[in-house]
Amino acid sequence: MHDICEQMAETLDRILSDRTASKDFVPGQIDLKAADLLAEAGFEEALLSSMAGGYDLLPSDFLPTLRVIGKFPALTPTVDRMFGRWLAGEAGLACDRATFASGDGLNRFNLDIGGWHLAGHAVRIPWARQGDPIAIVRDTEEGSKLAILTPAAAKVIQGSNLGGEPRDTVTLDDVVAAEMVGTLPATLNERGVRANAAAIRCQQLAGAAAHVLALTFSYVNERQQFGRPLARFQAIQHQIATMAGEVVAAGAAADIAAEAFGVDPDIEMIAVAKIRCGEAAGKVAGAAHQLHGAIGYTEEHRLHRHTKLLFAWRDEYGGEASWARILGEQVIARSANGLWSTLVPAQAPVLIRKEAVDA
Amino acid sequence: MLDVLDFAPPPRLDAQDLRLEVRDFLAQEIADRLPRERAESWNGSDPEFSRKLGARGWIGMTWPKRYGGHERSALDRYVIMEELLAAGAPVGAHWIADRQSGPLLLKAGSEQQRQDILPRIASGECYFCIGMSEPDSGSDLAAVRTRAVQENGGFRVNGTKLWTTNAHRAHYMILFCRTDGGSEARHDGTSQFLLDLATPGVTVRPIIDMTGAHHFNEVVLEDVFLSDDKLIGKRGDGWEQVMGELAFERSGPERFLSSFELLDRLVRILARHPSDRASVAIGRIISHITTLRRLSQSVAGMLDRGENPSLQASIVKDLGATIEQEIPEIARLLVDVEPEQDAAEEFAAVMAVTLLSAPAFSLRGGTREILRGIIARGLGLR
Repeated sequence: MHDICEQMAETLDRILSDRTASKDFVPGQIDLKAADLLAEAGFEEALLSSMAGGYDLLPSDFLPTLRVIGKFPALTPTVDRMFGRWLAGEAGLACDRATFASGDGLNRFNLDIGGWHLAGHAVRIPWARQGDPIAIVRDTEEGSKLAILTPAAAKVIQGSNLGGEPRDTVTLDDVVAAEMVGTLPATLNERGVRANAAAIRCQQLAGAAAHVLALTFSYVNERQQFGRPLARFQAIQHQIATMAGEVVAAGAAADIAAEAFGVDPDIEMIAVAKIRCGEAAGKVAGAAHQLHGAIGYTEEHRLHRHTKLLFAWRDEYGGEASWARILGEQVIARSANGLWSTLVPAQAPVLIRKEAVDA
Repeated sequence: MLDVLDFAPPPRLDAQDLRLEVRDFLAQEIADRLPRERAESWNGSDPEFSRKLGARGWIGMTWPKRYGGHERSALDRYVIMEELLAAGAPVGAHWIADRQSGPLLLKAGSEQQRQDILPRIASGECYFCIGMSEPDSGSDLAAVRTRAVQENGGFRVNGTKLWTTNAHRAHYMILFCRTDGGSEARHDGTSQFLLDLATPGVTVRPIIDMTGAHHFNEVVLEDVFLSDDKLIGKRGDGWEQVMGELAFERSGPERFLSSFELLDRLVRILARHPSDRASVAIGRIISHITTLRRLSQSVAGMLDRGENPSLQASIVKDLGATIEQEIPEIARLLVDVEPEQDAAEEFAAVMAVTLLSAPAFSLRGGTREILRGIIARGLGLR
């Protein structure tokens, strides 16, 4: 990992450790104080270039630091703001803050008198109720567009994911001034943006899965039954070993996602990652609850805050089935004459560099 | 404690030229090999093919040139291994020698043993079998009863090895046995020997496996005399050496490519009969295999750097065996076929071979239970 990214991971860990240990912190609640601290530390600009106020970090170096978030029961809009800011930058729009929103549910996104007319129900928008501007993406006949607008509070219907993070519905019938609507690169169409959003969720899933293993590991060493710690029982040891395998697979898959993230995302590799992270999330959560017994099933125990986030994040921006459908369809279509060369393509060395051709 | 679960990013595999070269080679050499034969994966054995690979420089690739090796990187070797496995090439004759016996001799063998053996392995002419399991010592390897008793100028060995793959085709066995103490000594007092299978007192008897094939053997050792120079490494270091060998055995691409022929044949059929259900099922398998490939390459990088990734290798093997055993079951849900080894139709035969091979995936090279024990111990639970 890049040095700066290591420092950022430490900063993230320190801020969230301090915050979740402070007296006014309520686990499982939206924590805007933590969000403000993370914003001050520069996390919302983390994906931007230095020209745009960021740090020129490679996503493959930076994104894995987001796994730290999975360790803490603090709910913050930081990653979705970070992603929104990055998208705004790619669309050539200047803004101080914007939370990413999918334009899936819109039935209207077109040029009209006075600007772009957006209408319909935008659903499962992260944190819309906070009154932040949202960066809403939609493919149109004029290309893939990104509009930044601040929805009126009255138009927000509150909803949330299983982990308690706001996922609101916004009813739009608004005209957005042309200077707040930008064009995204062709590769950042709705599909590409969704893939990148999924790549970010992979980091959170891998982090939370590792943390749930750590909690379970501690618990089986502390808890005594039949006169010895649970960890002494072979059946328990093997369940922990199985969880460890899933955590390792989720970590590798999240690495794949981090490398595939970008302006021209590798959608198949992100599919690989989201499928594997999602499957690991379910298995790790299931085993963790089994090993924690009844205590882990209670409101007072910390475990459920993390397992609920695993259950939520694995389905956001596409669950295993939807990504497997995309990946499987493409792989099968290309493999009528064999699978291996589809999975591991080999080309003769490229003699002419791509830049030279473009020039 | 859980830091051990951090897998370093895999080194980049840049060997595009090499990959194309081996694909061309395979397209010529094994064009006629039937899918049902390819499905045998690294159980398929063909000494002539092994010699051709040796002539290409694709055995003992990473070893020093003075021992007949080619001083290529571990990653070049990884490319060759996965290309051979993905194609279902008949690599079984030399596979064990290249994967673990050669590396063991390179690490622990005497200069004479290296000079005598390694160049012959690298040329694809000298094959090995693994002398670990016994009738009463399977997963509990430290319970070996085969004993080498020191006498004038060497050791007198008695005992029986079982499940010995390829003993009937191999030239040598790496014999793991007890030299000192009783079974209560456990890991102490064990040693490894270089056993020429033509030595008087060695009897090899076939054991037919449930596919009907002859890969396993029983190897009986009766008053076999081994001179001192047949000892590998130091007397009493057997356990440590054998664990190092197993790290090589557990982490390679054979841990996610054993059932690849079935997957390949399945996808070809589904390409002609696409369905939503098939896409979802295949997408999931591809996700698992792609992730495993990355993990396996990461372990190859650790081995290349001289680290000891026995915990990580165990995780890769456990994950690999789990998905590989799922593949035939998933295939059954997608394509209606009655498996039959001698079927006229290739898919039915490939399905039969893979179904009947699959139970071994989580047995050979360390059972699932042993691997999970190693993982738990690595995490500090035992």
